[in-house]
Amino acid sequence: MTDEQLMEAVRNGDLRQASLLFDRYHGRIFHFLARMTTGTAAAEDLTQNVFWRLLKYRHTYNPEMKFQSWIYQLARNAFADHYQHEKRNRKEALAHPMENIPELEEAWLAEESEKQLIRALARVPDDYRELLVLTRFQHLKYEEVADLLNMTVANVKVKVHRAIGHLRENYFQLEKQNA
Amino acid sequence: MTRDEWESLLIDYLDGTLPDARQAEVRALIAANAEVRQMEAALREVLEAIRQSKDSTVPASLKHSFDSMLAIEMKQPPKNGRQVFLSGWMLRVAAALALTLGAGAMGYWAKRSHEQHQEMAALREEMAKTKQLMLAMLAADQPASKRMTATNAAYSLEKVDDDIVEALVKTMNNDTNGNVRLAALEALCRFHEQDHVRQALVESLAIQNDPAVQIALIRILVQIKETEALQGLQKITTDEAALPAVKTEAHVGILRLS
Repeated sequence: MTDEQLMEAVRNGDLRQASLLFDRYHGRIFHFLARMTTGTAAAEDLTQNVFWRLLKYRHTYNPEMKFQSWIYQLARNAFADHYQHEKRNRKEALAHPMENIPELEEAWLAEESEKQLIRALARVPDDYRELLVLTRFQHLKYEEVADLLNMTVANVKVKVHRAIGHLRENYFQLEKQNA
Repeated sequence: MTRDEWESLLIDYLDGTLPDARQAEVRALIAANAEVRQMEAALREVLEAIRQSKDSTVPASLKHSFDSMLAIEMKQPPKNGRQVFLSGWMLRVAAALALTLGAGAMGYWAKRSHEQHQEMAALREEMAKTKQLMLAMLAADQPASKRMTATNAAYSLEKVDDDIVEALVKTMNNDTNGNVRLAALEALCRFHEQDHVRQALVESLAIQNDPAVQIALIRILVQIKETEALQGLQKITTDEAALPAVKTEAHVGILRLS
């Protein structure tokens, strides 16, 4: 069954099908949120929240919409709520809210180059970072991202290239600082 | 060609998405121009770092949490309006709490026999423990999913005591998760006939800054016809930090309550 058929079944009351959707998507959603928040603990919480929203708001799913776009939209909303809250509560983090990677994440970021990449990514403006995560880390096609973000494919491509430019600048700036 | 344009061209080159002829042109440009060569090397390194980047491990607990959440949801009868997710043991907590609060009415019957009296004492003890468990689940250091479960358990109660109201008010005003704050607000709304609940809702107007919670709170205060909220609503209409949608909702609230 396709994702859309499964979600339509869930919407119509066959909740068991949600398990298959969870199996297909929870890893991708978790990794998306881990890249966006730069933290696995927050990502775990937010991933739970996404699937909670999937069940809670199942009646709002439009079967004509691609399920992938819908669940990523739920994830984006969950992240936006989280980010807004963090921004309000951590004034010191306003400039680069996700730059300070918690110590407990160090195990994940064992490689120095990986730390540098994640820190550089955290300094990329939100909308560009999201595009980078979706296309370069999650390997979504430009067409899929355009569908998700309601943008043209050409615009997605232009912005992804700009985002890579931001990342490159940050990456080497950090390298200089660390040298 | 601007710097941005040839940076973009280099990304296509490194991605291998250019037609063969264009690919050869870029290769020639790299060979001929030191600045382009430097940019190509920098982009190559960053793109390679992305390719080498490893995802963190997905916690196994996610699956377990989802299975529990789904099992609870499957037990819920289809209904209109707000959905409440309770785990099996949380349902027992809710039931036990409901019994605790209704224990006074049951007292007369308990006196009928010594056996019943003993059962009631045991039940009270168990209920006190389960209430503490629920309050503990609302603590800030618990995961949001647990806090949400505890808040939903409170929502399902017929009656609440001061401890639970206090915990819900604290959650509504201070929880770090917007959904949990909303859930606490909705749970409190069910007990709006209690004066201290109404007062807490009014006071919360000055505390909330999440537009979703602000709008939900204003609607609830209008719905319960709480005229004490007028002053707080007035402040929101002149608050520069409040979003236009929140201000509009406050204006509507003032009109309806005046």
